Amino acid sequence: MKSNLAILLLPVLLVTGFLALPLLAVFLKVLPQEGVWATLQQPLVTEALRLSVITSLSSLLLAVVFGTPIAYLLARCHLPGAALLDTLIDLPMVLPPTVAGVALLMAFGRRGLLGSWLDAVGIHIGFTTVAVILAQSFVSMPFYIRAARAGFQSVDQELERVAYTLGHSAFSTFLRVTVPLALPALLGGAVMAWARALGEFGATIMFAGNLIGRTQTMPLAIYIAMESDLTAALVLSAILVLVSFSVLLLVRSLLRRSPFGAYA
Amino acid sequence: MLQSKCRIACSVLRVPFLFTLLLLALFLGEFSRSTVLEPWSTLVFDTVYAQETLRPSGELSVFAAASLTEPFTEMGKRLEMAYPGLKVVYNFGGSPALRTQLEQGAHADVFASADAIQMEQAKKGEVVQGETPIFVKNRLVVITPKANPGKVTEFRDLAKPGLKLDLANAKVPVGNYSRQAFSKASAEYGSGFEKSVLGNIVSEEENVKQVVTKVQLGEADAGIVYVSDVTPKVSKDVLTVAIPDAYNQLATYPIALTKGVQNRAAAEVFIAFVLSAEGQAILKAFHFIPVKE
Repeated sequence: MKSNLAILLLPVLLVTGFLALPLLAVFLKVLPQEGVWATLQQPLVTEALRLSVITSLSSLLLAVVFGTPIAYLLARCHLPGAALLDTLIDLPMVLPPTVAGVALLMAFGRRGLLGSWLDAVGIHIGFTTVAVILAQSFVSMPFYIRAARAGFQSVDQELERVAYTLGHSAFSTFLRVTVPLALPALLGGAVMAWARALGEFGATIMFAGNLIGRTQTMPLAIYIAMESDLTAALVLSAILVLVSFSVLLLVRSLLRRSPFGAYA
Repeated sequence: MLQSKCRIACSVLRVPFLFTLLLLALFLGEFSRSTVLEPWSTLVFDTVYAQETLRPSGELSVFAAASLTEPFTEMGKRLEMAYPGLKVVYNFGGSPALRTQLEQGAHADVFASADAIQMEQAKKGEVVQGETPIFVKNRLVVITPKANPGKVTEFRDLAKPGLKLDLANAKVPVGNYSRQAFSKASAEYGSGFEKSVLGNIVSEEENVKQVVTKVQLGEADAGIVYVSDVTPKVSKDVLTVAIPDAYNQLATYPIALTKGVQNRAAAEVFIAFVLSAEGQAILKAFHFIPVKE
């Protein structure tokens, strides 16, 4: 019995060490660096932070606004071709971000399928913050839709029917019964989508370009800073690790306290 | 009973069988490639270096500025033909990116930078050793998409309001040279020129080839690259606009052995080849400016 436990313990230790060591190394390397505070005030860092917050939250908003109805539809209705739609929505999750970058360029680029029409009427997406949000939405939306669909599916339809019979409208039932019951899944999906948007790199640098304050988000700034200013790269990395860790922790504790936590 | 045993044997045997098949395919691929190249190999570059006692072989790793992609690839092919058993492996990228990789412990035998600044920093970072000779020069040029949506016909048009200008970032040699050209031109065009041009930048790329791509795709109205980057393939999609000689920064490319060189014989032969008449002729053919005619 004891030896069995040891066999289990070994991979646990190995994996924990493997995951924790690189993240720990970022902090151990950044702390002794001189001028961490000065680096935090550099435009490269502050602008990247500001831009990342704005764009990742915008993509999240888009995902929730447009993703929720789609997820509900997929969970409740048996549409013809639903399997195809399902696969299409999941696709960006498994595609390499570089493929997303090429694809977005071919669609929304200046000579792209839609981009050339937009260009003709004077709308330019390339090299703008909008392009960053598009790139982030493309790769992150599926994470929310997937989770939300599973959440809606787990809601007992009997409860919805009861709400109808008690005189609630369809919309009110959705807001007062379905959404609260699916909330843990919705929140979890939202956090995953937000995190994916925050970390988006490949599609952004290919499709949106790289300019401080307009398209240079934190991952891009880290990549560029690695060549000239290691401290800035370390500081930005440390911030991303800290923020991501605390958000994940917060959501976990929120879900545990929520009365619907059992559904998570 | 017999059947089930058979099935187990079959499934066990399948793995090594597939593995052998894969090896065979790889071997055949290698073999067919070397036979294709065979007839050439005796033709080229047999004159000076082949007689030397040291015959380079094994893998040679070269880190070179992105603008050197075409001539260095050609040189690698010729060296591989002249020295069977030698394999030249390249890592092309922005000079600062390559220097950083070297400083972080990446293995290379040779480093070729597109400006003296990155080579100096590599020396300071103790990742290169010995001489750092300048082996070639290069000139800047403005490129626009063939349709020229920004209507750029001369250098000063880069200051047109609303123009989408794509440059390499200031740390990348071509980005640094471009910005020097703007500041020089400001003396004549007025100080507003530099300010308006810098205000037109829509993206700062990490190496020169990304600037080429953004203009080729028509995403940017104009970009500044090296004359040598306008290869026949690229010239189908772009127009070039000359930068007046008075402002055009001449890029200088130094080359060096790295500190961690592992294949010294091959590295020395490579650098000698780059500086040789044949190497310089290849660079010239790709529109670089040779240092030795």
